[in-house]
Amino acid sequence: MNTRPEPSNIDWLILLPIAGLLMFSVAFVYSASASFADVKFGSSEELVWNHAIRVLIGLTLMIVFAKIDYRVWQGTSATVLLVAIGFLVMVLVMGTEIKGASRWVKLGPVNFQPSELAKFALVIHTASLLSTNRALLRTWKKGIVPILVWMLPVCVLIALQPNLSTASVIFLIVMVMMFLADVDFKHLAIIVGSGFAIAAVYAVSAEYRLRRLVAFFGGGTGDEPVRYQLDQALIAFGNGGITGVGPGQSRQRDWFLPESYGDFIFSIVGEEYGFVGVTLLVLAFVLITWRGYTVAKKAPDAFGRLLAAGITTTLAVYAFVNAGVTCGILPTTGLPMPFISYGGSSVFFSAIAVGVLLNVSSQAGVYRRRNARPLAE
Amino acid sequence: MNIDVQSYEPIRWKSGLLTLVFSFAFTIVIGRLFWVQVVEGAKYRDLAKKQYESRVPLRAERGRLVDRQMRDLATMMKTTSFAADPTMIEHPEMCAQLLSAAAEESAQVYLDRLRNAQGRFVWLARGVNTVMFPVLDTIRDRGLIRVKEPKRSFTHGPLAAQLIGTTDVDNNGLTGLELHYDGILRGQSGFVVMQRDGRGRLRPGVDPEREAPRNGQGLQLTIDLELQRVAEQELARGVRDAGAVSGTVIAIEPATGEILAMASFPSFNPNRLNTATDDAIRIRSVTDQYEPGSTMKAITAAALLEERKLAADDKVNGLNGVLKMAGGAVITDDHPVGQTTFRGALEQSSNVVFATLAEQLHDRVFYKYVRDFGFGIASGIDLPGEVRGRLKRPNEFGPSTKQFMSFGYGISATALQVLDAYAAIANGGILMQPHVVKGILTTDGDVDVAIAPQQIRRVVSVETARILTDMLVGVVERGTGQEARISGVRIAGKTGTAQQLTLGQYGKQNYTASFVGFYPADKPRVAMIVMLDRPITSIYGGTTAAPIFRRIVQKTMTMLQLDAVTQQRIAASSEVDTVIVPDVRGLGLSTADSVLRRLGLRAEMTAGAGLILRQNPANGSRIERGTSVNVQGQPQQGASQRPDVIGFPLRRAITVLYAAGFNVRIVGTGKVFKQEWTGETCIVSAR
Repeated sequence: MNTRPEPSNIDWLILLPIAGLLMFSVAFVYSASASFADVKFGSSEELVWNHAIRVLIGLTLMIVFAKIDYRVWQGTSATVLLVAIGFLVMVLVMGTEIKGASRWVKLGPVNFQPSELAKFALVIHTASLLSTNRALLRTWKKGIVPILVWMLPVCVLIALQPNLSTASVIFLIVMVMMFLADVDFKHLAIIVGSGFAIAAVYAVSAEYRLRRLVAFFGGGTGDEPVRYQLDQALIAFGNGGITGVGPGQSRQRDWFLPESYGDFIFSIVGEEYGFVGVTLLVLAFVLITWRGYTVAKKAPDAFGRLLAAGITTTLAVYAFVNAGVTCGILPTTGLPMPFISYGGSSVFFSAIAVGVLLNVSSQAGVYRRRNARPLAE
Repeated sequence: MNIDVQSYEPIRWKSGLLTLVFSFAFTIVIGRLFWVQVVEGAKYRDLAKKQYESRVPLRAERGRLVDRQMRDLATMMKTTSFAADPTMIEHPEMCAQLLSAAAEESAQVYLDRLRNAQGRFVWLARGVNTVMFPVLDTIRDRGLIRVKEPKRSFTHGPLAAQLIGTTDVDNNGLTGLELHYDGILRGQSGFVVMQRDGRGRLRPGVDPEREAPRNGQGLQLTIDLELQRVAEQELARGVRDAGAVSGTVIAIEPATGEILAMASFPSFNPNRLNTATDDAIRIRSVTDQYEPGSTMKAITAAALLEERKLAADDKVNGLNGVLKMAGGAVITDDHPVGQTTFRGALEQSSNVVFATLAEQLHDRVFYKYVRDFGFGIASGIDLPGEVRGRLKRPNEFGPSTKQFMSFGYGISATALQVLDAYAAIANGGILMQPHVVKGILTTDGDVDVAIAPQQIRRVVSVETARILTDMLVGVVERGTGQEARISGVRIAGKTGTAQQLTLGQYGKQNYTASFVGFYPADKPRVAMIVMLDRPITSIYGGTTAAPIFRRIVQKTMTMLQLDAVTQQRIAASSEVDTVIVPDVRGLGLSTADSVLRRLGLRAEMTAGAGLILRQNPANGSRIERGTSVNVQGQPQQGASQRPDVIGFPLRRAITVLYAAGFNVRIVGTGKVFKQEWTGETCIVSAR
C-alpha cells in the first residue's frame, strides 16, 4: 500500500521556522549588541561571535536530541530534575550576582542559568508524572501532590533568586499541563488560586517589583528606569514603522535602549524590519505553536502528548510574554525571547527542548496518517 | 479510518483550545504592534528624531579689520581648543607636556586641572595655534577632546589694541570696535544636525542637515597703521620719559574727521588678555575727561576774533602775570607778560590776558562758541564708552566762571573733544564728525559700504580760522610750543598745562600736560593731540607733550607726500626709526616676507622650509627699519625625518605623510601595521 519511499521523519514545519529564527537571531543580535560591545569590549563583533557559535551548537544539539527516542526521558526525568534543583541551590549559595539577582552559576568556563535547565526538566518530569499516574490524577494524594512536590521547590528556588517572573511562568506552564492532562477543575482552581495569592503577596513584598507594576499601570513619576526602557522600546517600534529602518540601521541600540540585545531585542527587530518583520516573527511562533499542539494531539502515547504540549506551551508562553512586555501590553519582566535573545542557556535548552519535540513529532505521524505508528493499545 | 477514535482524549480538544488561545494572544501582540508602528508611528518617529538629533552651532568667523590702506590689523586664525574627559584620559602627563609646549602654561597647571576636575569635562587650553605645533594633532588619547575654534589673530600684536578691542572665547565683542560693531563683525552662526547616541555622544550623520554660518563683514578703519604704530611707540616713550601715569595720542584728518591714530598708554597684549587690566583696555581718548587748561585759549581766541572784539595784533595788557579776581582768587602766569599783542599773549599763554578779554564776551555768546566747538556734547564717534565732558550752562555761571573757562578750568573734556575743536580750526572753521570706520567690507574683502565724511556745523568763519591758525603757528615758532617745531613744516599748535583737582582743590602735585596742533599749517593734513596724565619730570605740556608730537610728525612725514627735499631735511633731523617685529610664525615664507616688507623689514630663511616655526628677533621686539628677520622653517625631510605612522588610523597616516611631503601608496584599510619606503613614497599596509 505504501509505494513511495519513507518520507523524512523530520517535522520541517517546526524545524524550519526555528532554524530560521536562530539564523536571523545572529543578525538581530549583531545589530542590537554592536554599540554596546564596541564600547565594552572594543569590538562591535564581540558578542555576536559568542552568539553565532551558540546558535551552531544549539542547532547541533537540536538534531542530536531529535534522534533520541523521547521515551528515554520518561525514566531519567527525575534524575535530571534533581540535578537542576541542585544547581538552583548552588545559585543561591554561590551564584554570580548580576543587577541584584543571582541567576547564573559558573561551570568551568561557562556561566549558565540553571533556571533554564530546571524549566525544561520540570516540564519533562511533569509530563512523566501526569502520564504514569493517569488513573490517579483526579485524587489529591496520588495525583496532584507528587506534582506539587516537584514544582514547588523549583518555583520557590527561582523566586528566591529573586526571579518572580520565571517562577510564575513555570507555575503557569505546569498548570496548563495539568489542565491538558484532565486534572479535576476544582483541584486546578484551588492550586491556581493559592498560587495567585502567594504571587501577589510576593510581588508587593519587594519595592522594585511593586514599582514595576505601578509604572506599568501608568502610575509613578514616569521616569523610573523601567518606564524609560519601555518608552525606548516603543520608540524603537514606532521608528521602525511599517517596513523598518533597514538591517543594521537601528539607532535605539546606540545606548538608548538598555539590554537591547537581551530581553528587549524584539523591539530592535521591530525598528530594523518594521511591522512587516515583527509580524512575520510572531507568525513564526504561531506556526510553531500550532504545529506543537498538533504533535501533542497525535503523539503515540500520553507521555509524548504531554511532553509535546508542555514544550510547546513553554515556547509559546515565553514568546508571548516577551513580545507583550516589549510592546507594553504586559508589565516588565526579564524573560528572553526564545531563539532570538542573546544568551547561551536559553539557546541551548530551548534547542534541546525542540529536539525532543521533533522526536515526538517524528513518531506522531503528523505528516501522513499511514506512517503513524499504532497506539500502544 | 481513524485508529485512535476509540479512546476519549481530552488533550485533543484542549490542545486545539490552547492553539486558539495562543493564536488570539499573538493576534493581540500584532494588533498592538500595528497600533504602535503604523497608527502612532509618526508620534514615535518624532520622539526618536528628537532624541537622535542635536543642533550643533557652526561658528561664523568674525570679520577682519584693516587699516585705511587695507593692511590687516586683525584677522582670524584657525585654532584648536583642548578639553578632556578626566575619567577617560589615558596619558595625562604626555598631554600636559605637549600642551605646555604649545600653549602658555606649565605642564603642572594642566595636570592640576585634570586632577581637580569635577565631572567629565574640563577645558585645558583654548585657542591653541596647532599650525605651529603639529605634534598636538598626533596625540591619541580617548580622553582628549579637540574643538576647532577660529580665534582673532592680531597681525601686529598689541598695535591699536584698545581700539580694536577684545572678544570673549564665545565670539562676543567685549570692548572697542569689536563691541561697537559686533553686529557687523560677528556674522551669523549656522548649525549642523549631529546624531546623538544614548550616552549623549555626537557624531555626524550621512548628508546632515546644515546651515552654513554667515561670516561677519570686515571693517576698513580710518586708522593709518604706520601713524598708529609711531604714535604708540612715541607715546610709550614719552610717558616713560616724563614719569607720567598714562597718556593719549589722537590724530585726525581735519577735512574728513577720520581718525588716523588713537593710542592710549598703558596698553595690553590682546594675545594675553587675561593679564590685561581695565586701565590698559579702555580707550582713554573718549572715556577719560580732564580740565584742558591752556589749550582752551584757542577756543576763547576764536570767539573773540569771530565776534570782532579785537584783532591778532591789538595791544593787550598782561599785568605782569597777576590778576586779582572779584571773589579774592588770584590768577597768575607762568610766563608773565606786560604790554603785548593778542598774538603774543597766546604765544606766551597768558592766563591774565585771556581772563581779562573774556569779560568782553557775553556769557551766552561765550557758551555758544564753546559748545559749537563740541564741548559738553558727546562727539558721537563710533566707539563705546564715550563721555561728554562737563560744560556749565550760562545760568550755572558764577561771577568768575567764564574767566576761568577762558583758559581751560571749570570745564572738562575728553582729549577727542579738544582735538575736534582744533581740527575745526584747521578745517577752515567747519567741525567734522569724527569716526574710526571708513568702510564696511564684504566677506570677500571689497568695500561694501563707504562711510562718507559728515559736517557737523560751521563754528567760525574761514577768515577767523585763518587768523587763528597763523597765531597758533606763532605759538610753535616763538612761544610755549617751540619743542614741537620742525624745520621744513609749519605747525600750528598750543600747549596746555592744567592743575588737576585733588580732593576738590587745585594742587601743585598733579598736572595734565598736553599739546594739540595741526600741520602743515597752510593746508592741514593731520591734527593731533598728545596728552599726559600726571607727568613728573616736567609738568609743562611744552616740554613733555610737545616733543612727543614732534617726533611723531617727523617719523610720519612721508605720509604727507611732501616734496623730496623737505622730506630729506626732515628725515635728517629725526632719529633712527625703529619698528616692532610682527609675529610671522606659522606663515609661509612669502607671506611672512610681504608682512615684513610693509614695515620696511625683510625675511631671511636660515633653516628648514615650509611654514615658519621660529623667528629671531622675537615678535614684539623693536628693531631698526631696513634690517632683516631670521626665520626658521620646518626641518628638512630626510631619511631620519620619515614619520612613523604605525598604529595610526589609515586616514591620519595619509594626512601626516602628505603633510611631510611624501607620496603614499595604500594597501588595505583600517589601522596601519606596516610601512615601507621606496624613495619618497611610503607604502602603508593597513588592516
